[in-house]
Amino acid sequence: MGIVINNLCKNYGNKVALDCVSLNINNGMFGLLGPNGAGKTTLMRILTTLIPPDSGSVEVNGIPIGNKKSIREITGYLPQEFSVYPSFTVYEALDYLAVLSRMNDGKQRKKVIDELLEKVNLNRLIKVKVKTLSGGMKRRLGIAQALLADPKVLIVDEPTAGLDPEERIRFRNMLGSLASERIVILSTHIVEDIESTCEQIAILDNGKIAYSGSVSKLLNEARGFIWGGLVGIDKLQYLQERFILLSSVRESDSVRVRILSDTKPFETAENISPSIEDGYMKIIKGVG
Amino acid sequence: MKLCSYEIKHHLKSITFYIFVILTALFVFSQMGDFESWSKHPDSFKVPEQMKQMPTLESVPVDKELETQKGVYELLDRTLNTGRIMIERGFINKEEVLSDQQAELIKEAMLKISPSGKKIDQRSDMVLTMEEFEKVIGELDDALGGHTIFTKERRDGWMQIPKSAEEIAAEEKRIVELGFTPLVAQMFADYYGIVLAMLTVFLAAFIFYRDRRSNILELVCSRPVGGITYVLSKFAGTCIPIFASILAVASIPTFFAVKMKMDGFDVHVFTYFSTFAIWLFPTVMLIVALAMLVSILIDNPIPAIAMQFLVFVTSIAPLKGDYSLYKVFIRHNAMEPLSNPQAFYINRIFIALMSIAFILITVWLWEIKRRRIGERIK
Repeated sequence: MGIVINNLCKNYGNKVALDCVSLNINNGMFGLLGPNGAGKTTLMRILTTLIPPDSGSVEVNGIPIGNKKSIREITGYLPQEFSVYPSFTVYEALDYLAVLSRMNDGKQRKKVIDELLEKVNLNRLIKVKVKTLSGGMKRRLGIAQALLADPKVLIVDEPTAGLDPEERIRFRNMLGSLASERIVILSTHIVEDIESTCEQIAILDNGKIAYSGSVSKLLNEARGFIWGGLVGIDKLQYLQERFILLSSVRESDSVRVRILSDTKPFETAENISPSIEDGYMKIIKGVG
Repeated sequence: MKLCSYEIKHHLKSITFYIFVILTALFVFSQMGDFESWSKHPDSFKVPEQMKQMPTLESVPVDKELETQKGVYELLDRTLNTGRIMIERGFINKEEVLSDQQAELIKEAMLKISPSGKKIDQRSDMVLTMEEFEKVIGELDDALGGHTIFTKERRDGWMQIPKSAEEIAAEEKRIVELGFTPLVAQMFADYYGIVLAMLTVFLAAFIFYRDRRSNILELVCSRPVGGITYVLSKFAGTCIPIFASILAVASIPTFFAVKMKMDGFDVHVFTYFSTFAIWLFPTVMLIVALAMLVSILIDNPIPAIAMQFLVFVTSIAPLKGDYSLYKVFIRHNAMEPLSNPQAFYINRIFIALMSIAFILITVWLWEIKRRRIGERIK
């Protein structure tokens, strides 16, 4: 069981959104990383039947993407801009979306909604209007609506954008707990979201898969390319101009720098162990 | 059903709906405030004032030919005096400025009908047989470019021709059969139809726009709900509260009808409900369906409002007797039975069926747009 994507292409006029993308996604948490405009949302929307591909094939649990009705039955989706009718209460919003998911049994619907609201910790807010919820609460409501029909595939597009650090951590943990029994695709440009939840990832860049595999493999590939050390403030501009400066932290009269480079950037630089962000930057910047 | 109830809830939470109800009720009651006084004066119920003004069986028999020539001559004269000519072209009645050449043609025709230039008041004023008269009018219509309201096929709604004794007898028989209240209800429905035709579109045109504005399209379209369920629930969920408001308005005159019934008068107590339903429900259905269709086709609610204005213009005139299939609402500005009940019922059934057809096309369009909805969302 899984998602098999083969040579998937999508253009918007002359702009290539997806350029022959091939991916295999299995049960568990899968991270889709990429800069803004890389094609992540297009891929998510193809997987949720909101956009038809120009060419290539996609199968979700063996079901071709053209069989939209069946795909929609097994897919839960939290779009980047999650929104419902503002006049709805939390309960009404979930009930309405449950009916759209063809959950016709009223008692069953109520049971599922109550359980989900408890799971996302919104059970005390069932009568509160959606428009009054905070960003984090809205995201949790978004996850609850995506889980209404107990989907085999859960797709979440940029779920932590705009959340404060505490909400972001809570949200990531929630997603992690959901991945044990289904495929969860987490699309984001925030590397931290992937770091703490996903084992398998893909990096999309300019509509192409720049990397696909495990997080540990990504880290291995970045090993030897990340350099660190202390430099004088006067050298900072020189390093910025010639290398990819990943970070710089002032330490009294010096600056501690972290640099992505296939050669030693300065005399006292030392190889340091890479983070996922470093691995991501190495892929995106095409170093090595 | 549940989706439909959510659509109803949307309307009931919307200020626009209450403005709609208040405006329609105000318009109707301001036009028809008399129903209360009718119920308070049983004598006027038995012999209504409006009926007294109508010719009776004892009156002089109506000379149909004379009245026709007289009526058309007056219509021609009015056209010359106003300098504007009414043209019925397809679905639209259009008033055009009379050119000098057209005015000359009308003058020539009038001279043929009455060489002395006098209005036709009695039989002796008629110089043409009916056959010759219709020929003159037919030639005039051709010369004016056709579609004028002077011809036999079109003039009925534009001029008053007294009814013959036989026609009056038949009408009175039907009035007795119908009772007086249904006639009031029909006239009431005439006014109500006008205001519904004007305002319903404001509730219907924004149905799909609301989805877009609320940014809910991705959630809706990625779910397994079928287009027919989704669109039909929106259609029904819009029509039902409007129907309810119509029935609520109907309950007020019904209250007086019940009072009359309790006073011993033979009235049709529930006639307001049945008359309003038959007259107005198809109108509401068509306007809602058309607005939904146009708004999804063009992806904008405003053209639906403009379209509704055109539909309104096609149905507003003549004031009675026109039951053409394209009439979205039926005008019957008279306290008398329908001149052609069969045509009326055919119109209402046709309009209701058209609304279903429009909704099915809307379902189809919605499904087509749904396939690529992700390309249109930023």
